[in-house]
Parts: sequence; structure tokens; C-alpha cells
Amino acid sequence: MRWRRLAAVLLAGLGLVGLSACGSAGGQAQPKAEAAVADYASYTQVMVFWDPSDSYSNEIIAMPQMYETLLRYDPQTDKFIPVLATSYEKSQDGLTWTFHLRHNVHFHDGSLMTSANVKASIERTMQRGNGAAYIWDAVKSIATPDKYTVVFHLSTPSPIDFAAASPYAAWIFNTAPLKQHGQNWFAKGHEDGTGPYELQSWSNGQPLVLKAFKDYWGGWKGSHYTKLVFQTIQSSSTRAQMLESGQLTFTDFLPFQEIQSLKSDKNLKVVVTPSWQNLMAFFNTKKKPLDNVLVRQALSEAFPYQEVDQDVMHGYATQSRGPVPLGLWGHDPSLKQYHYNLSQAKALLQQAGIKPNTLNLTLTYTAGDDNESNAAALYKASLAQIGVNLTVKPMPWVAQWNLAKATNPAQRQDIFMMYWWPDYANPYSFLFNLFHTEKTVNFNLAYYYNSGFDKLIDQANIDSGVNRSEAVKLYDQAQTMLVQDAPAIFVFDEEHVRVIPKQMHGYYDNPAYTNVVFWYDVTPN
Amino acid sequence: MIAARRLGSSLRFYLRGNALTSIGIFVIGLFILVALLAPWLAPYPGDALGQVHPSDALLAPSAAHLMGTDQLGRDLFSLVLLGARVSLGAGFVTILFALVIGVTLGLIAGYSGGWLDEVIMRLTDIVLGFPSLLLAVAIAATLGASLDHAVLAIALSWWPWYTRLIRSQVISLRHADYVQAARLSGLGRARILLRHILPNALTPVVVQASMDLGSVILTLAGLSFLGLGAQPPTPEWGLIVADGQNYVLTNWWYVTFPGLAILISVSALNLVGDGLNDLLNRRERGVL
Amino acid sequence: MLVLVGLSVLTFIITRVAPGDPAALWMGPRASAAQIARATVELGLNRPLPVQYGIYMWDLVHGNLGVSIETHQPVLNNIAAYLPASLELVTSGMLIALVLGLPLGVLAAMRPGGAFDTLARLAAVLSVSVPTFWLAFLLQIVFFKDLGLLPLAGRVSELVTVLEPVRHITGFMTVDSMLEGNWTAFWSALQHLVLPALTIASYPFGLILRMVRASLLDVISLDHVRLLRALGQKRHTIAFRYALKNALPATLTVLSLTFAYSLTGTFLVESVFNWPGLGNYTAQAVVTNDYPAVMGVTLVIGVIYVVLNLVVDLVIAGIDPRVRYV
Repeated sequence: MRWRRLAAVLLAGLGLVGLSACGSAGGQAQPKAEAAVADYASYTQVMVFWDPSDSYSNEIIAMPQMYETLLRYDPQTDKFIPVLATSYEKSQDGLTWTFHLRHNVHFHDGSLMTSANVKASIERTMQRGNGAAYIWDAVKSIATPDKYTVVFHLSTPSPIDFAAASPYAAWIFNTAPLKQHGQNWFAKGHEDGTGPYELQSWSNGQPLVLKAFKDYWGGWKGSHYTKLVFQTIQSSSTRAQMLESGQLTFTDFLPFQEIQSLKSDKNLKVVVTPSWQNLMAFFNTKKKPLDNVLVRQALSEAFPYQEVDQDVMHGYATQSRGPVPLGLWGHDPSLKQYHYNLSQAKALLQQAGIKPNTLNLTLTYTAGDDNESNAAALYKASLAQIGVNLTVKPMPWVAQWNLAKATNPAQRQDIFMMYWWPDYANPYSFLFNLFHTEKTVNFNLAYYYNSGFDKLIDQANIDSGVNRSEAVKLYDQAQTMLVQDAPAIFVFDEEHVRVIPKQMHGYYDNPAYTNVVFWYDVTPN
Repeated sequence: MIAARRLGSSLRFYLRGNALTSIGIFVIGLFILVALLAPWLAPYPGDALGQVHPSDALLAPSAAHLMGTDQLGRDLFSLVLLGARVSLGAGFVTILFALVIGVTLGLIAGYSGGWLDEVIMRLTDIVLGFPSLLLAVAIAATLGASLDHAVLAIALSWWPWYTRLIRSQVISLRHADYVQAARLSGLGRARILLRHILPNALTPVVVQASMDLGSVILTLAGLSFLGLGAQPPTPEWGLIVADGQNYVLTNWWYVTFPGLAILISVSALNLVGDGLNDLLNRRERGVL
Repeated sequence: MLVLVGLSVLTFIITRVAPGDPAALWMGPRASAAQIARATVELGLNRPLPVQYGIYMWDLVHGNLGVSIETHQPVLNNIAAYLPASLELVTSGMLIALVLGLPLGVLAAMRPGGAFDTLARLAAVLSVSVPTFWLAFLLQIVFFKDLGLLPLAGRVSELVTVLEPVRHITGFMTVDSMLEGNWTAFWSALQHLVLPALTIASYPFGLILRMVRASLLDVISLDHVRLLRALGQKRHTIAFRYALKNALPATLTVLSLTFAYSLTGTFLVESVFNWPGLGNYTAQAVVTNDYPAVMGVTLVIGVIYVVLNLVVDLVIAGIDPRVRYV
């Protein structure tokens, strides 16, 4: 009978499904795991640039496992940790920097690391000019007097120690495979670094799997993770669930709701660290009436800073003092701030000759970011109270940026909301990129062109390569200028909030290396 | 015409014996009523216009907030009610748009035949193969993301289905006796098309359209998910669900109620469409 | 063929004309204006549009689909990786839909208007109307959170990937692990497949049930079927052996259309279950205006669509002798 056969097929199918559900205890088929495996899930694609010279994106979370830099910066102590360089000196005039390399360091292909490799890596990065290669702009030449000494000769003073500790453009790698397989060898999905972990497997759509490099110079005494998995999971509720069930060890971003619900889990703990990421809203200083400083100051006093910190960021942010975030050198804790004062804002607007309900402004932010969306909504409600009509437009980043660069300035937005974080531990990264005069619009999205400001920070940058305290004085003057001119609302400095397994020890959220976990330094239990 | 008369007389008899379709009609009627009266029914109508109450964020359903609140304290019950007019209205307009384009092209293709037919059919094939998502993104990128533009994008991808349907209807009706008679009696092409062919050809298209209404609403929700459709604070159901996806496992009400609203309204529309289909295509019902 | 060319032109124009800067996307969000300008030249974006199209088609003919701006990998590699995952998901979903929908549709048609029929029709309507990502969340909550029976997301557990990885033969993890005798991986893959496949199956299930039921009802009233009944043939024999054949052509056509659409239309399900499929890849590509990826996927899907239509036409001709002689 046909239908009996059909029923049999149906039952068999259901049976298979049922079997698979009950097939293994606890609902998960698990192979034996002698290895301690760390599973890091990012909300976006992990390996964007495989090439260590070009790396400038999310692969930062995986690169420090496979590659190393000469130094690593610790903001807590404001000191450099020796990695591939055991010590370094700089000349009095700041134009010569000498690094002494660690002995007996091997690349993953077995070859020994020498000063020639350091010179080749950095020269290739400079020559390609991609990513953050500009950090080496002051380097005139690199000399290698012996196997373990590297000398940088600069054309102007520059903080080379910070450059050497940068998470972008400072990786030391072996260029030998490139001679054999061509310059695109890295980009195809290969690596050859000195780091504690080497590539086990990767392909499109598959997670990145790294395994412990047995000849790592640091050795493997004690308890370490032997395998690392990096995967992409876009859904934050999925990542939160996986943290709870113990499948995930770390994730780079969780919305506050998930954090709230995970806080009480007895197997997890919450780690909060000030980050160097801040949120700013740039006024279009070239458009009327935002070209009037009184108007900008008024709008700065209409922003509900505390409400955003408490209700949107749940206390995991503090109002910024200027563009340099808390914890980065160059930050001035006594810098003036604007405060939420609607009556004063109204008075300033009146003084500027703006009548209530005549001002219409457009604010753009990056679509998909809940915090920006909620902050903008609160700002809109607040501005409505002083008779300013704000239209809020979420846009994909590329579209938002393109609008800001539109050739017809009348088409550009009035207020541009975005985050910034530094490429490396240098306040110049904020001040130069965001407020230095530009010929073509890049990231100075307030279109703030002030030559006095430019001179201050350019000089400070040079000074920072010789005498940091001199540089800090100049940076301070520059920031005071910015607060006075109010080309942007300095909204908040964010804190990183991580949820990790309780038994994970040794994790330090270093703001100089955003979202990076130095897995070698972490003990599984 | 013939179809309309059949509809009228069979309708009452049919409905009496067919529970499901009656339920469908009742439910969708309810939704339409709600959609029309929403601004007066909603307890917090300002929430859909930009008001926020952050201190009331993410409250569970209660007497004050029947469906709870979202992360900015907006009352979800009000948003869902007001969303009825947005989602249902947008869906309706989309289908109408697609019908106008599709039916016109299908009529021309079916009746003219020859190279005009070929051209229109090739165009149909191309648009069918074209990923509708791409069109939606392109339009959003050029004109800006909004519900209106999403409606335009979907309508522009949807019309080929109706063209094909109408065309096959027209082709088969072209040779019907009464059409031949009309032609022989000297009536102009347009007149024949509009008065004799169209009303009969429309039947399956109308049925298909009523069933499509549900799919369109789902597609609009999908576009909102990607940020390409309605923008906050427009209370489009799909947008509310998309906003709530981060809160699924911690604040179940956020996603559940708008999702239910979509499910129920789309089901009702499908039931109605089904019923229409059964009604207008009835042959003698045999029982096996 | 002409259709494919037309499709490629239309897609190319739309992706290149829509505002958005592929060079900026390529270099990453913090690239300087100078770096972007350089990338614009390297990617050939400064040449006139028809030239760019020509270069693209020339590469295409040689099997080169370009490099994805978002992933920085060859589009062909990306598609080769993501397509089998989508195929596995959509095929499983369709199978479930068929196995459940077909018999239920027949049974419903055997007693139209009855209680079973009404319930079946209700089930069909609900499963067609449910928003897929909503259903996905529901299944996750019930089967993962509350019952702890099935995994939350992914294709296979991470430990399997790390310790007992499956070699890519067909790209179907369930099949490949079976072929290799890697039973841990097989069970893991099967478990991970259940929930997403069920979610995908909901829409076609409802569709198939309705179509089969409707076609059967049409056929049942035909004279030759009445004759068979009068001659004493059992009801279910008639239903399954004779009447079903009439339902198949329409059902197959609908199935093939749904299949081709599902290959990229499942991005919502893929995103919730973190399934590395073509839907997710396409959605990302489209939203970021990753034009080589978009072109590649559109053309590949277009080809699949054409091939599928051909296959379905042949199968229908095989089943239905009337078609052969038209």
C-alpha cells in the first residue's frame, strides 16, 4: 500500500530527527577534548586583511596571536613591555632610535628572526603605504649594524616607541615566502609570524583555527590554551546564549541587555575597563548658522549628557573632556566641559539671533548602532524643548561618510555622529585626523580649518618624539581651543564591558589593543 | 460581469459552510478597523511620533503597558496598533502598484502577441531573476531608506508575477467565443480588452494578489530588518521585530507581539485569498 | 542565454551607478583619502563604465568572478564555500516540507470540508504566514533554551571543527562526514541542521499542502476518477497513484521557484542560526554594495534558475505524457 510506505518514510524521518536529538548526552556531540580550546566570537568578519602590512580592520583580534611587534604598550603603568625587542634607546635629538632584539626567536616556518627581518617587514609596510603605514612616516632609513640590532634614522622626531607597539602596521614577519610565492601569498590566507599561535585551518565560511606554536620563545610552561577558534556570529543574543552555556570563551561586543541578564550567571564574571573609544557629534562649521560659535555652544549645552550615560549606556560611559579619551596620555582631567543647561542654551541661541522653532538640523549616524540611535533620539527630544527641530537619519557607514564628502557642500549633513579610537597610543591620532585642516575631506567632519590649531598639534607631535611633557603642554592648549570653539559635541568616553568565564585568569583589557585578548597570557582555569 | 455575478450568489452559500474563510474575513476586518481607529485607540500615540521615556525602558506587559515597552520606554501596544495602518497600508499600496504595472504589461503582451509579447516576456524574465534585495538597496542608497522607497522597490520586483498570470489568462480568453463575437462586430481593441477580457482575466490575479499581500508584508519586514525600509520611530511591525532581536531571550515581549500581529494578519489575508480561490474556481465538488 | 546577459547588464549598471565607494569599502573604514584614491586606480574603478563591464565579462568567461570587496577573497571561492551550505539547508528544508506536506495534502483532499481538512488548511496557512526569523527564535527558545535538546546555532560544534574537522568533498557536512566515517561530526552536523531546516521548511510545507490538496480536488471531480471509484478502486489508491500525478507538475514548478528564491532569500534564517550560507553572504554584499560579490551571486543564481527550470520541465514531461506532444 502506497500510503503505508509513505507513513514509513515519515516515521523514519522523524525517528532520525529524534535520534539525533537524543543521540548524545546533553544534546551536543562532543569529541574528546584534551586540548584547552578558547572560542572567540566576533560580531563581524574576522580575517579581512591577511597581510600584516595592510592589516587595518577586525583581524586585529587574531593578528597578535600569530605575529608580534617589537614592544607592547601598557597604559596602566604607562610603560612598554619588551616583546621582540628587549630594550631600546633614543638619541638626545630624538632622531636615532636603537632597538636590541631578543635572541632565539623563530618564525613559524622554523627560520631564525634577525634584524634583517625587522628591517624587511617595516620597509615593506612603509613601501606599500596601506593601513596605518603613516606611523613610520618620519623614518628616513633603517640600519642593521648586527644580527640583533636595528637602528631607525628619522628625518624629524617622532614617537617611534609608540609606533613600534602599534596594533597596526608594526608586525614583524618573514618576507622569505613572499619571494618564493609572490606578494599576494599572505592575502590568500597564509601567515609566517613569531607569535605563540600558528595557523591550523581557515577557509571561507569556516572559523579561523590556530594551534599552539611549540617552538615559541616564551615556552609553554604552566596552563595555556592550546587551540584558538575565531568565528563570526552576528546575532548578539546567540553569542550571549553561547557564553552562558559555556560554548564561548569571549565575544567582542554585547548590547547592555544581554550583559544585564548574564551578570547574575554564577559561571561568568563582568570586566569593565575604560576604553579609548569615544563618541562625538561634529557640527558642520561651514554651514549657517552652525558657523556661529554661540550656536554651537548652545547646542552643546542642550545635549543630555547624564541621561545618555545613565539610560543609554547604563553607566558604562562618562562624559568626555575634549576629544582625547580618559586613560590616554594627553588627556586633561581639568579640561572644561559643557553641561546640560537648557535655559542657558536658549539664551545663547537668542543671543545669536535664532528665533525658536526656526532652526531645522539633520543629524546622521551609522545605521545599526543602538547606542547612537538611542542617544540621537534623546538629543532630538531635548532640542525640541528649546525650539530646535532635529531630523535624525541613520545611514550605512559608507553612505554616511560619502554624504559628508559630497562635492556640493549644501547637501552635507549638519551634525555627523561617529566614534573614534586611535590607531596607536597617541593623542595626535585624535587631534590630527579629526580636526586638522584638510584639502580633501577625510575625517575632519566638522570642516574645522584653524591654522593656529594645526601649528600647535604638529609641533606637539614632533615634541612627543623628544620630550613628552612638552608635547602634553601643547596638546592641552590645542584641546582648550577646541572646547572653546565647540566644533563638535564631545559626548562620552566608553568603557569596555566584557563577560568572561569566571575561571579565566590573566585577562587584561588593554585599551591600546581594542578587543584583543592576548590568549597566551590567559590561563584557562 | 460573469465573474462578479458568480461571486455574489455563491458568496453567502459558501460562507455559511466554510468556517475558515469566515474567520479570515472577520480577523482581517478587525485589523482594518483597528488600523483606521488606531490613533484614538492607542493609549500612548505620541510614542510613534518620537516621544521617549527612557526611565520606563523594557517593562514587562502589565495593565499600564499591555504589551510592555521597548528600550526607550515606548509603549509596544500603541506601536503595534499604529503599526497596523503602516504595515497593512504599505502592503496594500505595494500590491496596488505592482498590479497596475503588471496587469497593464500583461494585457498588452497577451493581446498583442508577436514581438511586443516577446520583449515584455524577456523583460519579465530579467526582472524575475534580478535579486529584489539588490533593487531595494540601490533605491535606498540613491533616494534614501524609507518605507515609501521600500514599497517602490518591492512593487518594481513584484509586478512580473501578475504580468505572467494575466498574460496566460488573456491568451486563453483571446479565443473565447464571446471575444470573437465582439471582434467580428467591429469593437475596437482597447474596448475589447477593457470590457470583455479584463474582468474575467482579473479573477486569478485578484486571488493571487490577496494571497501576496501577506508575503509583501513579510518582505517589508525583512527589508526593515536590514535597515532598508521604515526608519524609527515609524511603527512598522517588521521594524519593531528587528529592533527587538537583541532582546529576544531577555525581554520576550518585544519581539513576540509584533511578530504575532504579522502572523495573524498575514494568516487572515491568506485565508481570505484561499477562500476566494476556492470560490471562484469551483468545479463540481466531487467526493472521493 | 539572452536573459542572463540582460541580467548581467542590469545588475552591473545598478551596482555601479548606486552611490557608494567600493574603493573606500576595500581599504577599510579608516583609510585616508590618498589610500582610497590609490585603491580606486588599482581596482580599475576610474575607467569608463562600459570598459569596466567589458573587463568583467572577459574575466567571467575565463572563470574569474573578481574579488569580493568585503571579504577580500575571490568571489568564486566565497560562493563555492557558501553555496553548498545553503544547498544543504534548503534541500533538507524542502525534503521535510515534501515528506510532511504531500501526504497531509492528499489526506485532506480525501474528505474536503471535514475536521481534518480544516485543521490541515489552518496549519498550511499558519506555516505560510509565519515570519521566518520569528519562528527561528521560537524554535531556539523551545529546543535550546527550555528543552536543551538541540544546539543554538552554527553548522557543527566548534570542538569538531578544531579536533575532528570534516574534509570538504560535496560541501554537505552531513554527507561528507558520512563518507569519511566521521560519526561524531555526522551527529553534530545533523543536530545543527534540524532547527534551521525546520524553519526553512515551514513556507514550502504550507505551499505544498495547499497545492496538492487543490490539485487533487480538481482531479477528483473528473470523470475518469469517478469511473475508477465506481469500478471499486480503493480511495487511497486512487488518491496516491492516479490523482497525485496531476498535482505534481504544478507542485514541482512551485517547488523549483521556491528553491531558487530560497538560496538567497534565507538570509534571515541564516543570520539567526549563524549558518554560513549564500543568503547571509548576499545580504551583506548587497548592503555594502560589494559589487563583484553581488554580480557573482546574481549570475550564479541566474544560471541555477535556468538549469532548474529545464530540469523541472523535463521531469514534468516525463510524468505527464500530454506535455510531450504539445
